[in-house]
Amino acid sequence: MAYTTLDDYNTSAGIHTLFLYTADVVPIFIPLLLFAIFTITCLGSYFAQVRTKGSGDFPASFTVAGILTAIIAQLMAVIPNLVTIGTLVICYTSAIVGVIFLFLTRDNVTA
Amino acid sequence: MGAKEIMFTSLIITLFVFAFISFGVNFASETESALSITNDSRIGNLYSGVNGSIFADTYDGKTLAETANETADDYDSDDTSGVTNFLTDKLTDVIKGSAKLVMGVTYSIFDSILDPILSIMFPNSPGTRQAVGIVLTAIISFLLVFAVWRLIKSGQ
Repeated sequence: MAYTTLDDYNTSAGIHTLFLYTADVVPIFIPLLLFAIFTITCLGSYFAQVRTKGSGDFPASFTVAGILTAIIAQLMAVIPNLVTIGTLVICYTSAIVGVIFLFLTRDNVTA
Repeated sequence: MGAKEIMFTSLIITLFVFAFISFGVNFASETESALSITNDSRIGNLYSGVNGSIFADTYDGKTLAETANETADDYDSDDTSGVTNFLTDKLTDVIKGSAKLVMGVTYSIFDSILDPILSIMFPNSPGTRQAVGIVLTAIISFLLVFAVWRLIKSGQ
């Protein structure tokens, strides 16, 4: 069986063809990319707070990272066959879990 | 965290979940994306459950317009008790609607969280999954009732 190469794709269609090709050859590429975005945002935000304020708010960082990742995954879903429904659901679930985590660790929601 | 905070937190979380999934659904619809978040049955059930609880366009099998027309037809201006009945009907509708909203939304969120967990814990026994789900739902129902009771007591 011949290997799939970039020549098999219509690269003049746009830069997203590169992502499509990579996701086709390495199926875990997109989930890893989204996980990297999530981790970088979450830890970057948390340690930036630690550096500037002396203490960090991990639930808030987790929530922000989850929402950002879900939005990026939703944007990627516009391109056919780039993101699977499982990946999209995991991104949305992480955002929802982050929000639940954030609000349940707050004492005065009604204040 | 007291009962009041739990109730408000549940509502805020529910509103966020509904707004966030609505964003995904509408975005996929506007961009004519082949992949929508509601293609997944769990998210689809959660969205339809919350959507049905908040924006139900039927009540007791009738549309809201039909219900409003019937209520207006029932109102007799010559009957002095008509005003009382009219206001009482509206008041009970508001109370029933509020209870339906809180319970329906909470159950939808609860189902969406519980179902995947039980699917992982009991992958090959849907009967056990159903039984555990029923027991946990019963516990949550009692907790909700007690939470409402405590909310009323703390208000007094």
